[in-house]
Amino acid sequence: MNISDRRRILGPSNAKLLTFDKSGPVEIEPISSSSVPNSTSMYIENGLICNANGSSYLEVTGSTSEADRTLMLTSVYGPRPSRGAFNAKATLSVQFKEVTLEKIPAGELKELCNFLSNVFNAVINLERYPKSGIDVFLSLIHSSNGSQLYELESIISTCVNGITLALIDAGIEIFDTVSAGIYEKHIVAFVKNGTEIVGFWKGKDSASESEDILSIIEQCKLDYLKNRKAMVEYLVRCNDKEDHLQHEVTKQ
Amino acid sequence: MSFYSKDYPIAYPGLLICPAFELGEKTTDSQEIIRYIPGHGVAEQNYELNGHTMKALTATLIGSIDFEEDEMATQTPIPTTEASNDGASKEGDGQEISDNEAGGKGERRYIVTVKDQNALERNVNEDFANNLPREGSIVLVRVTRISLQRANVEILAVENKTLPKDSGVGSNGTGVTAAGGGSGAATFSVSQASSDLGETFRGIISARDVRATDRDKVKIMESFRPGDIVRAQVISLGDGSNYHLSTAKNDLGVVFARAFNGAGGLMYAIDWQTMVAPSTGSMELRKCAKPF
Repeated sequence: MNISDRRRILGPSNAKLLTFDKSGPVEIEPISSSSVPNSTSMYIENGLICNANGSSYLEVTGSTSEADRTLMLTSVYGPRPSRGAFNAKATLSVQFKEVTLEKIPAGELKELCNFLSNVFNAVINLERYPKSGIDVFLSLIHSSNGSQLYELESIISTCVNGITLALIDAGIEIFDTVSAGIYEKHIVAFVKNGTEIVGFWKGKDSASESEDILSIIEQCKLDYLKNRKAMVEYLVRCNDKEDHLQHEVTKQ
Repeated sequence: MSFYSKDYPIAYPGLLICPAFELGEKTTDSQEIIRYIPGHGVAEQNYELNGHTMKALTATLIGSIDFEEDEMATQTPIPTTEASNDGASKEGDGQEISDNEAGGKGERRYIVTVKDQNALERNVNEDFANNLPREGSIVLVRVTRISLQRANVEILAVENKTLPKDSGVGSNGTGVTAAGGGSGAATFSVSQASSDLGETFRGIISARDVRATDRDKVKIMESFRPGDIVRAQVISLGDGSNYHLSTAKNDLGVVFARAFNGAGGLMYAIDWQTMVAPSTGSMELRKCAKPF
């Protein structure tokens, strides 16, 4: 019997399961801190991609100018069955793609993906998912920093925050709401309320070259705490709304 | 006030729930120990507080926190060695007591879980959560191929738990696969990952695991046919590609089957090894699950 034979009794290639959602779309106003000058603002929307197990859309406006903006769409697929040798833990893969203009050289992209998979290998509870693979797809929709074509640093921190939100949306177990803080051209990813570091990206040709590494981390931590607060607030608010809708449905 | 009776806000990954141990009621001659065990959506992690390392439970998912007393374990406490190392340290609200002190008496256990709102009130659901099949899980599978020694199956859902909603995506051909990622990540073979669209977890039911009696007389042909939906239990995670499954119980076996290799109508079990198609009256042999 041919292997492809067993797909004979399946539906057409574009068939989708009928799902009857209990709740309507959750509308959340953007969490913005525009009233405070010189600060970044973040817009979060989870679950936009219905084909993925979990997804997040992140819009980050930078601290320097309005034009400094990063738009990122993250989707998480899996845990999927893996083939080949037995693996007691899940295998994580991170893929980065610029969906509009391709400006970032391939070498830097590879470096970026390695950095991100290192961070999330430490954070995801991989033991819970034996024999499977988790795929993370990052789609950079837009990134600009006025004069510069792109700013890798703000992209990286958006990636970290976006992946965390997408993993939470997918319901994949992670040990902590990991988030990244950015200072000058350095990025530090923290867990456990800033007491532990899971990733450190040192920027090139930075003006703060002479600065002490501890003070860099301290500065990054401030940014991290702000980002994490926004993310947690969004998650809790979303869940509250869903909860609320659920109750309304059961009442009827 | 004990942690299990507290009111909690909505849990999110990284939220500290409670310490691994807590001191309960104290009488003159005994001290009650409350132990918290991480369940679904909860992980035990080391935290440092004022220079001491202590174990605490944190949420790993978003949802509501649930404490459930484990009464079986309360009667027969199982001593663990890992806790006795940092036994006598008491710190903040997280007290740790070694098992030696507890003496196995007056210990209560609570299993802490984080439950998603959507997961409640559902038994089998294919679009939530990440409970992969593990040893002992009851799964619903579809037979894809049979041979004299075994039946190859694909796992559709885990009973009382669920598979992620995209794990079946591959079976109808939509969705993306990472180049060298996901299923290909372990082997780094792009062709292997994309050539096989059936991205479901696969399993094997060996002839000797079909039923509990007369194992050597089992004929796969008289137990399963391709296309049958079978209720089975995971006996081991198996090798890289297949879970090992068993139907050697009364309530396990074929639950749905069509006559004439899928061409006829739906059949119903009339005893543990025969199914009948009511429209034609034709009978076929299967290893049926006990109807209930």
